[in-house]
Amino acid sequence: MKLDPHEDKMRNKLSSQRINVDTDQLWSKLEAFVPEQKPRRPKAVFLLWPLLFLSISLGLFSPYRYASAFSIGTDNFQNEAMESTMTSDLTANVKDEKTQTGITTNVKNKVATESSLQHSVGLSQNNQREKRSHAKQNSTERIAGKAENSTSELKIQKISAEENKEENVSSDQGSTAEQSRFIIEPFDKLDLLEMDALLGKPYKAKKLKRIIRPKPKQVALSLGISGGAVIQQHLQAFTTEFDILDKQKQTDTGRELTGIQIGIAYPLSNKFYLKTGLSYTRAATCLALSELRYSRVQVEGVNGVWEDNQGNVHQVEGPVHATRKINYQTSWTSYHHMLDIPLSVGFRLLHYKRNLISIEAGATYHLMHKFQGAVWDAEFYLNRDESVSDNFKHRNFSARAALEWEYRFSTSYSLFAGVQATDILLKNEGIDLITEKKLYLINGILGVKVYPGNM
Amino acid sequence: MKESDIISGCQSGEKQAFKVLVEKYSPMLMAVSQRYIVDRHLAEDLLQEAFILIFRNIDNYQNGGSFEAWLRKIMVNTCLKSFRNQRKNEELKHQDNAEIAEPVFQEHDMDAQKILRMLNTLEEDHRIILNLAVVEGFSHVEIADMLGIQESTSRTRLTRARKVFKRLLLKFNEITSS
Repeated sequence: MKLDPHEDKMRNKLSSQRINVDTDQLWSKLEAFVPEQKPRRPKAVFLLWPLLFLSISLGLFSPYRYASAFSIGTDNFQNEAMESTMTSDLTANVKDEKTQTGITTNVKNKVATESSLQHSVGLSQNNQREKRSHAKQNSTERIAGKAENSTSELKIQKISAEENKEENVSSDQGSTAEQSRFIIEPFDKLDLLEMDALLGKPYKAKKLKRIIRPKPKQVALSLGISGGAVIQQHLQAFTTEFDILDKQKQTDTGRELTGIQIGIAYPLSNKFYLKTGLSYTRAATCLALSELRYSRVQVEGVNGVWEDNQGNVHQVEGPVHATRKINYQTSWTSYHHMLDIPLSVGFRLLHYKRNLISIEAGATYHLMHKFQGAVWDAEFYLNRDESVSDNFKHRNFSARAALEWEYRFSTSYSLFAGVQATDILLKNEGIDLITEKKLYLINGILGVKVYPGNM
Repeated sequence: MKESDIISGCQSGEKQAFKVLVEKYSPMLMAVSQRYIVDRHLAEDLLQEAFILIFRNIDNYQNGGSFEAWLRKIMVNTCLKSFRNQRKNEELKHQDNAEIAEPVFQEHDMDAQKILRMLNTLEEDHRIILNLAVVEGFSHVEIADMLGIQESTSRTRLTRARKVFKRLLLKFNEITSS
């Protein structure tokens, strides 16, 4: 568009015009609309909390190990025994299972085991041991006799039988760690009753309930790998509210992901566990971004050479009005590096000897997310008339720039759910080492690991 | 504070950066607002509205383009949106009773004041198209897109507006010379 001299003057005057405003008053009105300050990125601090969690877990675990080894007796005895059952050698369990032909046999076996252990340990107070042994034998006989008929009968009988023997239990302080190994069955009611019988401690219903709820017993260290690809064809054309970006088309062509996780699992109950850790994921996103924008500009102070479509060169002197064509027709691959701290609750679906399948759900805190890449080019075309024209291209003014964006760190949160298979590599070493194969379901995409939000 | 510091400060939510942003750019944006809106109070309201939008959208600003141009465009769009709303509601169609602008110009800007006064005497449609085409430098394609009109309408409207403004300018010169 050709401007008259007076219009040109008007444009220059008005463009540089400034009108004073009472900024204090304006600010007082605007202050309320200032977005809340985003939290600083506490990189190092957040790296510490999985370690803190690990140390707390280990801290809880260690006393248990010592406690189970050296303290037996009173009310805690059964708890400790049960807890140690969870950590004790499963081989014994399997062996016992093989030898069991029924509940009666089972109980008898245990009594036999108990008796032999009692012998090997050698309690200091002989009379008490005799009393206890006698009482246990009585109760065992009763249980063994009735267990085939009814568990409830067994319980009632056992409790009544054990009431007389409560006094004996308190004297079991001198027992050794080996005593904690004799109960090897899962914790059903019958086992608890058997324990009553063996240990000479009656359980009321409440206690039974309380004890059935297992205590945290053992932490597991987990290592996981994830990988795969998510193919996503995603065409989006949008205009911002104020046409700031004009029309922009964005094509998201695909992603590939690889990752590794290290975590720690903490059992909440027999079925549930809490898990946290640190996860690193690398994702490459192929992205094509297309933006074409024309605007009228005045190119000043240029004695430029302009070339028309036929290749004829024209010399133009002085300021010219030109069409600026900015072409963000770019494609680039963004590399996302994400460091996440997931916190999830898991539920065991199937549990085999050394494998388990579980479902997990939780939240992930993306501690770090960095990416890079952008390219744009701009061209200037001489205007012959008022319309947008690309007949005359400025020979020297075509600019192309590749911007390597700085790695930007940002934090975000997301929710996830998934199914995972776990292999237990080490068992009964205090900390189990497990490997996990994960299948995540996030935002309706069944992929390996996909995070919504910033990507 | 440098422009890049202001932007990064705002993007990370620092209140002080927002304040500096308001202090630094409000005279420029007020001038833009005043070019489109005759009523000073309304122009101030729109300035405030534009700043709120800037606050909310500053995260979307990318360093590729000129920050001032980005701010201007938000201001222009806020003004145009206000026009559209006015027309929709068929209210304030005539700004006869509207308070004529009494902008506080900086001393060196007396010419701009005169031009602005002249612009304010134009019809609303003419004033808008002159501002968009001549002052802001938008093409007819862009103007048509922004105003939701045909490109040919934009051309016709601009031709008329230019004629009227020229006539006004001649009249003004006659008065001042006599």
